[in-house]
Amino acid sequence: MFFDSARPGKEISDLVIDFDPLSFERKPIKKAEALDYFKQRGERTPYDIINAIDEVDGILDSRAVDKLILLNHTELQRLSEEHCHGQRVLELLEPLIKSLRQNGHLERLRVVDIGCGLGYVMRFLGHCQKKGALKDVELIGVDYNQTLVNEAKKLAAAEDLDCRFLIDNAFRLKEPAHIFISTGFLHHLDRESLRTCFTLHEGPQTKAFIHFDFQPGLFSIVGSLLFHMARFRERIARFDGVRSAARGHSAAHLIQASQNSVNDLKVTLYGRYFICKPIPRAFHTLVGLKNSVRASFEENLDSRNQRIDQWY
Amino acid sequence: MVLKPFLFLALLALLDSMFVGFRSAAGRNPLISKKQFVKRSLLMGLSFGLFPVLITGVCGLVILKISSDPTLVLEDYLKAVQILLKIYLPYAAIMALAFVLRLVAQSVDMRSFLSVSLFGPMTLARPFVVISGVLYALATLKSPQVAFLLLLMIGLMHGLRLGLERHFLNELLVMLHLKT
Repeated sequence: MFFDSARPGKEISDLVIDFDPLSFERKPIKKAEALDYFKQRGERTPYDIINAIDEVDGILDSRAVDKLILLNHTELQRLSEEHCHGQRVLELLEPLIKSLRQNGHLERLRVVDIGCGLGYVMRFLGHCQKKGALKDVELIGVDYNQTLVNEAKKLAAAEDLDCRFLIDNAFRLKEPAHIFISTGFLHHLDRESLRTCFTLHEGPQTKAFIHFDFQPGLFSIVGSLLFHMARFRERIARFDGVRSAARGHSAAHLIQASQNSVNDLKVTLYGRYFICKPIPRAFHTLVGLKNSVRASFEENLDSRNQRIDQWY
Repeated sequence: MVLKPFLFLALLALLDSMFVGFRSAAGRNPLISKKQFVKRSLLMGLSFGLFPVLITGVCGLVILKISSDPTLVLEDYLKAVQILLKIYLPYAAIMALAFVLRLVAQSVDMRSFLSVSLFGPMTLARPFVVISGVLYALATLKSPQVAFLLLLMIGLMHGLRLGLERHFLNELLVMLHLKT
């Protein structure tokens, strides 16, 4: 049933592809193991999708998986375009960078997108940069997935965009990030990994982070079901998209995990409500920055500073 | 004067074909700037949409020509078109309003809101709107000639959608070097 996807749990793409976190080598995935997860949960749709993937000696065929993942991500980009994710990141990144400049951080700032996938947000920002936005800012998208990163590189080159894509760990780059960003990445982490992820944010170079992700709740799940039914054609995109909305971390949990793990930065949530307080947005944004930059950041947001929650 | 409702319905079908092109192409091109791609998808929808409209029109004329009572058949055609317009025009008006709002909306929130509250549900509703118009006309008129033309029209429009979906998927697979 399509409604299976609205239950919290793993996405198909979590199970059909995996990489070694140190060597970034792709790990072979046993089809039976991937199938077993959904069989145990009695979820027919994802089971059928995985079952249809070609296999070689019980191992999922990497080319077939890549095709599935690429089609999924291309449809996901449509969601990002329709919900203006690139524009939303830009609307927070610009005042943030302006505030950093006002506080003496005049060096070339490195913005790193964690789990960039096809690199839509970085390419969008690169496109804006061509039009004069985000001056003296280096844009880097990082992901473990070789196929997606290679495609992101090709797409950026096709449009002559000034952004780079790396197969790497975003927290172990040779040139560390000044600002970490992500869209739809945090919900892939369980609670423990989320805390670890925030601990890794801490570093002498880190000045801020902006993480967009699903705000769990009835509104985002129902909205997501409707949106995916109406818009998406790839069955994996429908399933994984709705499941993403169902497994987002709550505002309280994001604050708690980041507050306890990142000592150097103040954290808050931005844009939890649509128009006024009782109406939640499907996405909320976790923002972290140096205390010294806080006041100017709020000032640079202009009227949008009302969307900021309490700082922790 | 008699032709006016027919032309109006044909125009509506062509407009719908344009958006069939747009919807089939959406999510099938991962570039950032894709104005040309979107334009091309609209044009493809429009040009291929001419076939269902023309084929149905020609079939309608042939049926009229070979009919023993052309006046009665023409009357049925007219009544059917009026019923269809009664169902399809309000739908088209809501979609047009949504597009105008989307064009003037500056806020990203408003655009998202329109997507979730109008474009998504209206896209989901489209097949039901199309079928209810046809069923209403069939139930009211009970004319085999009208039934044939309506079923031919929705069959061809469905074929148009499948064809365009396939075309844009293939285009994407070639672009991503996934075509074997």
